[in-house]
Amino acid sequence: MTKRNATLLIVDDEIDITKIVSKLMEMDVTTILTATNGKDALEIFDKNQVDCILSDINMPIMNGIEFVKEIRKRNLNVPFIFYTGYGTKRLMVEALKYGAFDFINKPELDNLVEIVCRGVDTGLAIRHEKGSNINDKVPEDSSKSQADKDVDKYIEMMKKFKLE
Amino acid sequence: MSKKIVLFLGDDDVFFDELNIYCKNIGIIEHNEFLVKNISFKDINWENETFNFTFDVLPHLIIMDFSRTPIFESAKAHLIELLYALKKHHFTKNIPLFGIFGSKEELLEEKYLIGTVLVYAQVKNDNRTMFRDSIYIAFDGRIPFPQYALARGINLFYDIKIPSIVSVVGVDSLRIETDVELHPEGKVRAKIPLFTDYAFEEFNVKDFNYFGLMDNFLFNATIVPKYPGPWDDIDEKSVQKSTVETWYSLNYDEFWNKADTCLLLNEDFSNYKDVFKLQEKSEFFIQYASYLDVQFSAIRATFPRVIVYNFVEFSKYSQKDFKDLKITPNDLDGLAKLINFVKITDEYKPVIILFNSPSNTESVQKVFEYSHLMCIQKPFCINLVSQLLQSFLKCKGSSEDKTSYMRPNDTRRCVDVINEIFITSLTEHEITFKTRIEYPLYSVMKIDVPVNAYITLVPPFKELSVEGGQNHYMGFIHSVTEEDLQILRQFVNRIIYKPIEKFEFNVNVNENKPLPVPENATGSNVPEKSSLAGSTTTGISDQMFGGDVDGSKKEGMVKKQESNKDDERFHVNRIKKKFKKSKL
Repeated sequence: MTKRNATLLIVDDEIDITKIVSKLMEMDVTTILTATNGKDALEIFDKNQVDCILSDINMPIMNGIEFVKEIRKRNLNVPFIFYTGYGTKRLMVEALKYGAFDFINKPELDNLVEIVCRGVDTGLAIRHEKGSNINDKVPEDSSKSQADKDVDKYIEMMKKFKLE
Repeated sequence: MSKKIVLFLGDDDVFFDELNIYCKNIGIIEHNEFLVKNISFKDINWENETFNFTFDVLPHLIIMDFSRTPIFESAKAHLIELLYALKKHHFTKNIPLFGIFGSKEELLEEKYLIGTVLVYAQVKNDNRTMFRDSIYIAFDGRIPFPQYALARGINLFYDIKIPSIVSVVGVDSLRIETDVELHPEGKVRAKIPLFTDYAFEEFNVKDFNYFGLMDNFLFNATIVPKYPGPWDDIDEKSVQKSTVETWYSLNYDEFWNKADTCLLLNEDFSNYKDVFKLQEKSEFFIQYASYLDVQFSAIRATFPRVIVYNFVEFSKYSQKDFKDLKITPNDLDGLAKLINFVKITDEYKPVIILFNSPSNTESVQKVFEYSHLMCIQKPFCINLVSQLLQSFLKCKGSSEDKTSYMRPNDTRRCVDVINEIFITSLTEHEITFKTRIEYPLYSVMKIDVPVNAYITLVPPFKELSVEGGQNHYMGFIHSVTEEDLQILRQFVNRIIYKPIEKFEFNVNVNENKPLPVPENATGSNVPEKSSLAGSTTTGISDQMFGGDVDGSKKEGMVKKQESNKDDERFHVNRIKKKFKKSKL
């Protein structure tokens, strides 16, 4: 798998978790930044071009919900992946309102790499759409418009439902 | 105090002026409570018209002119579509719609609208009765009514007809929509003119649901005709199953034959035309609703295989508005409730397609723990809905088993549910009757004695006695011409002069000629026989006409208009059809 030229921001007040996840992702993403609370993460975010965020929900100073709220206020739809734990259902619903890309259950780290890679890829695609880095090449597929590709994606999704 | 808006849709300036004059004369415009607005058909670009113009005006009463002018004819199809959309959206379905027509013939040609979208219809003539009735119905207003000659103590049985519709047609069963609460395992009498020989008079009720599938009725029910068995006697009223099968197959292409059902939940009805177009071409029957109610009636009606949910984070309506109507906004809480309902329903797992989703599919699936969920993070798009529905059928595999829905403009869908009532009194304007059945207020019914007319059940403006578990109702008579009124007056006179034994009327001019009223007639000096319909009815005291229809303590029929400007004289009446509670 090609290492993605992208920046991942990991936000968790448990430093051990950030270390483990950073280790897991270092083969797939060129730049990994970390923070222990939403407030610090916001400062890092404002100074860097972040393509995907993996954030805990329950954190001191500024939790994951308040953090994503602040990001969305900046009109930025960078993918947000949330860690969830026991008793955070209400917060998960709250997180949906501000745009969640996916959820990963702590302490299970199954599928974490796959989910984060998808998030990073989505973040890169968003960045390319905005053309914020003119040196990055947009993958070409001239046969279909984005709208058509979206329709294909949804139709594929429909096929995956086990319809009776 | 916010203004109460009466909206007239039409181009008849004379009618609009009369409406304004009437409102001024009863003092409601002067007190600055009411605003009477006119939107002319010629000012509307119907091809591009969205639903929003009525939202902007937010009327409390709509009077629409159905007179056959060239402008109306060119706009008619659009108008009818708009009316159906109005009656679908939760926040406009309870605005009372009144129709005025140029003639009785024109009215009867559009009779399928009466009871489905129109709560009242009238032929243009002396419009004051209609103005009074509309203000009374729409605003619970204290309106001075004239004192009509009253035939009381009639006490006769009569079969009244309740306009209903057939939504689903089939050989073995039909699905009807009605305001009559039926009972599963019970029976219903109905006249269903699918074709001439479809002479069933009674049907078995198989199941029953609290939802109007296609129109603004309260209930829908599956009813089953009883075909004669191989050993049953056949007479001219018998209907053979083979006859119905032949008719059904010959008319099959005239129905909407649908493989499945899709429920489309969208607060924004501005694209209603596109939805109606999709209804025409899709293999899905599109149930179009603004919101879900707390009972999930729209889902219980058909258990749609696909639910399209247009997510709205912040509705323009308040939480109180939703609570009052017992409906749920289309937000995440609403989605959570919907999914919970689906999960607790046996063998039901629809695909839910969320438009305008704030989050992507994987995250929403995980939070709600529901796999058959697709989130589209883009605005609602009818073309995409169409493509996804086609894709659904391809994945599921198309079935030969289709459900046949009758099109809204198919007049054969108009049926009459028949119930027996006990008529207690009659004027040329009101009828009162007793029955054990509970009918919702503002239901529309039909009579054919002494003339073909419609009645709308209203809160009575006089005391009606209740005894023995019976409900006692009052209805305003409407959809009549001046000639019809003359016959009604004759009939009332007939009953006052000589009680009848059966509720029927044979026109006999000489017998029913009203006696002249003496010139000096006042109050109690007027002999009773001169209190006939057709004589001067204003200025004659309550002693002659007022009082309870059973002859007990007299009460005035007219409620006097309050002159105190500080009173809330008119209460906006969102005519949610509601059951009249019987007093035991």
